[in-house]
Amino acid sequence: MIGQLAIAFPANLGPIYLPALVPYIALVIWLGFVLTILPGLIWIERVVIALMQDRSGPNRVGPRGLLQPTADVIKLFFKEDVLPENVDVRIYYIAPVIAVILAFAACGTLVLDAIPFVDAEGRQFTVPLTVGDVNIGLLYILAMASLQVYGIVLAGWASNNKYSLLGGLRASAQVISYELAMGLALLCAILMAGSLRLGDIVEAQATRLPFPGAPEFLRGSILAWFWLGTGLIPVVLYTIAMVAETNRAPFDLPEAESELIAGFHTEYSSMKFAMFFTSEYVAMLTVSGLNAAVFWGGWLPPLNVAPFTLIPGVLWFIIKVMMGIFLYTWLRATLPRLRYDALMALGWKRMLPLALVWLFVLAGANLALERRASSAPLPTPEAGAIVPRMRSTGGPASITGQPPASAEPGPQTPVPGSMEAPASNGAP
Amino acid sequence: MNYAANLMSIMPVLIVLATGMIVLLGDACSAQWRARRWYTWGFSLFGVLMALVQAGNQLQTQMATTFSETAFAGSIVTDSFTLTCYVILLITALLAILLAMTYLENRNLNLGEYYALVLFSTAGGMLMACSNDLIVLFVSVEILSVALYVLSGFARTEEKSEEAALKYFLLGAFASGFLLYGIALVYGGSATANHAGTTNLADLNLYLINDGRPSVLLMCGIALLFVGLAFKAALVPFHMWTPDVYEGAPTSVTAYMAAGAKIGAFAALMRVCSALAPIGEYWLPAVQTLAVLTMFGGNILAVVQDNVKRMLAYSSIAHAGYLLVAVSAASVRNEQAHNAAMGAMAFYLMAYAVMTMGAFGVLIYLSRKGRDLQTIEDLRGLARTDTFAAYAMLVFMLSLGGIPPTMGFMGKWFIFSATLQAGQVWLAIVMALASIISIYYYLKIVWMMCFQEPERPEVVEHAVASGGVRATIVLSLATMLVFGILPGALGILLNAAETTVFRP
Amino acid sequence: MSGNHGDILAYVPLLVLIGVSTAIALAMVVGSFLLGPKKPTAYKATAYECGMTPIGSARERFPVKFYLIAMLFIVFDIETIFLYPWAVTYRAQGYDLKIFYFAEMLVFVAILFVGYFYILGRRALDWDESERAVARDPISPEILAPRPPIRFGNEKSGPVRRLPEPAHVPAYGAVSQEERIAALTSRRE
Repeated sequence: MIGQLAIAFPANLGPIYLPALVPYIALVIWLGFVLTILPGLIWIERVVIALMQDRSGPNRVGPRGLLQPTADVIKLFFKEDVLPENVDVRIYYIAPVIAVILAFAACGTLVLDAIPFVDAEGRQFTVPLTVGDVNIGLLYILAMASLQVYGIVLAGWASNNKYSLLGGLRASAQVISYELAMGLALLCAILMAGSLRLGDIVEAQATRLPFPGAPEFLRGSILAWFWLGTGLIPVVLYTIAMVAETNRAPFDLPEAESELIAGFHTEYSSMKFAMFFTSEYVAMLTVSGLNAAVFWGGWLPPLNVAPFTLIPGVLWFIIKVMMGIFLYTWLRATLPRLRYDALMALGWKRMLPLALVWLFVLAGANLALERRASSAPLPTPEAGAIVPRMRSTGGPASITGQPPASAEPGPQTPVPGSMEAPASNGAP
Repeated sequence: MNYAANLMSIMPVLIVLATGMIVLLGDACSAQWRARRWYTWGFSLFGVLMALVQAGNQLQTQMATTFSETAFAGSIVTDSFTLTCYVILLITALLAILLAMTYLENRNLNLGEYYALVLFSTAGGMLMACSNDLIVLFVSVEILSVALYVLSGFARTEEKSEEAALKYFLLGAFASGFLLYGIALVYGGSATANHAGTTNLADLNLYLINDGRPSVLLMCGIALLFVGLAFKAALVPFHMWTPDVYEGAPTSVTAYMAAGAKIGAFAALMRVCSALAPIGEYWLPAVQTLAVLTMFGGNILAVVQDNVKRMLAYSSIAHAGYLLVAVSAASVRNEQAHNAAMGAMAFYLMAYAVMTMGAFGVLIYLSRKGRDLQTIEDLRGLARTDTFAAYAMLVFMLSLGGIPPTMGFMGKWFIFSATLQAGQVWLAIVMALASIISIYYYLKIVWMMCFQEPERPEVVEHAVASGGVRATIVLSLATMLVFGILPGALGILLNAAETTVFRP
Repeated sequence: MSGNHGDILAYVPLLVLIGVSTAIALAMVVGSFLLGPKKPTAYKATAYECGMTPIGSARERFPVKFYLIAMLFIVFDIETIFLYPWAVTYRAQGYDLKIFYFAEMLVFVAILFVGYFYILGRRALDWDESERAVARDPISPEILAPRPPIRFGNEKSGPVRRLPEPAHVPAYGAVSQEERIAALTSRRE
């Protein structure tokens, strides 16, 4: 975290209220990163797979084939844009557009870092480096990710090709099946953090001790993050589900070459074909980013000691995302494709009940811990739950305004304390 | 009231729902269908009996204390009308389950879902009877209807059954839409400058008493509400689905649907009308018009039917008309007439449930393997070939026609006198005229059974009629005659309205 | 924090992001449309079926299992949606209320699990049809009776349906294979 270098930016630079600009900075950083890394991702994947399979991989264009993806992109732009017979032209063109828009939009609420500011009165506060610091951030990503299936299924339907239709159907069935387990696995982390705002979820990991009575230097360290904090099962479930969500190997049945050719994009050529590729890779980045933020501590360094804290949070976040990408590649090189019934059985019969049961195990454990804490004379530091500290009101309206007072949604949210029935039935 | 007390007040519903779930689970998860068959049937019966005992218990306490209580923040009310409806619905469910097994096995349909669905829709009807909030009402209407949609398509391989399910589902979905939209408008229409609107019936009642004149929005909402409920209760002009669905659905389902859905719908209608009674002059003419249309429409259309199931469908429409007369009588601002009409309606619902289940029970008893009994011709000379069935049917027909000494007669008599008490003399006369028409087609069946020679004089071999079907018929027969002669024995029903929440 | 205007305004950058991504997507489509060559031929325009002439329409009925999955998904997805607000507020409750929260949601999920075990027991989640038929209808053996084989239209007895070929392409067998391919791959005009 930059904050650990004891740097804090002034909140007001002349008339401009800087935290209000943070979302746009995040937008530029994230889009820049995604658009530059995209061709690189393909190169990384090819090279890593080549290494794993003990062959040389791309090596003609540029050093170590580094320019190969660039050449591919240019080539694709100049390829013929074939329009097959009997396609539903409007939907045929709209489908890849939907896929790309949603893929780019989905990553909007990922938090790259927390930027510390100090205002005129000397109060310090942090602002998450994210495009949309909204209170339903995680839900937003999930919504956008599940909308992406529209691009696929519309492409399959519009193409007037049996393989495409089957591919599209398979993709939609697969995505919706795994979305359940994915949502439930994320719920486990939400239960621990008590917020849907991704910044809060990361902060919750930053203030957490791995276990009660752990030494203080482990607070917010890699052992305190939710991958361990939620009991390992949610992160495993999420990782499986995220691979299935993005239709990647070993869950790449929608485009299983040996049976469905290219699946839903069989009939797509030139850049429209590349757009499906783009959306797939961006979706991979997004779900890896979600994994990093929710289970792997987002921008936090693995240990709060010198060499790690010197690296800025953005880099930590990107490192974690890239580890997710590496995992994708590794899986692709290692595992054979699943049979379709096995795929469905895994999602519905194993992961869904396991995730649901685990959620209640966590909730029950929380209840039990609380009981112990409330019966003990002094509450442990854990028992007070996470106090969300960091808030921002990024937005144009507050550009010249004051920094926000840190409103604390304390534990005493107004909830009806009893189930008393109001006597509203009196007869006159 | 604490949480446990809330749950206790709807205990019969919970028992029925839990039984339904256990039946569903046990049926799906056991491999041995021979064991399953007794398990599902027996356990459903057991659950319904338990619920019946619980409801009777509560009813007894209720009568002793004459205290009506609300639960779940006023959205559910447990008064004696509620509990009476519970008892009637549970008896209907009991008879429906008794009827079902052999019939379903003869048609190769014996699946555990049947019993679970019957139980679920019973629970929906029970919730309709106890709902004191329009939202709860809507949810319970859906619980009732969704189960019935599936049930009416239960003979999956038959075109008629499929058609029935689809028709019922589509029209039912429309009706639900009307109902929900009406609820939304009522919520908006009951809002004032000072406070937000309400969907709670008791609050609505209070609001209407205090504020007198309803807004246009509220009137639109009430109209839509009535349309939605009229669909469910199959009142004439919203009855179009009834004959097709009753004909297409498997007969045991038709029996249950004719009785159960109607009881639920009328309980709900009674609740809504009682709450709206303070502005009765605005909507009562509409209800009365519906009642007249329904009585005449149902009876006249029934006259021309050749198919017994269709005929009974139209007859059930006509009975809905009589019940609507009771609703109309209950909506006047006269406490005595109100109570009398509530009681009369409870009694008539009981009578209607028993005689409908009985009549359809005879049809099931007569149905041959794999084939339903359909036309009146099929009944020709039944008195010679199957005396038991013929005379049972005779009593049910007489009761449906309202001829003493049956329960049907007493029910009509109570409604008649309640209507007179309410000062709606013309409506009482119309009701009497309509029931005269009905006697024609009920007696047509009697004539066909008793005064015609059978085509083949030898005894027709029916599919093994199980004890269950016989039990249903005998039970219905006994109830009908005993309480037709001694209606006072059901005084508990007649007093149903004594402790209801609303005062017109 | 929730409910003040700052939260609504936090969506503005997201709208900007969606706008930018729309621009990127449109640029990709329009760019390749403008830059690529246009040489349509009849052969290129046919649907790709591994080099064979396409048979029939692609918009046919597809297995009902997909509908089943979609319906089940709706049920479970709505259940997950109910869990979200519960999970967010769970931790912040006091001990007594937390017990209530826990028990209430446990009952809800237990009821859901009844449905889950039902569909599991009915093999609605099994992708293999014959297995499901056995479990579903133990009393109706006719379901298991052998059915006539599915016809695809390209058996010897059945007529082979072909897409109409362009008029200038000579009939199959009238000329040599090379000439025919040349005609097929030539321009439409």
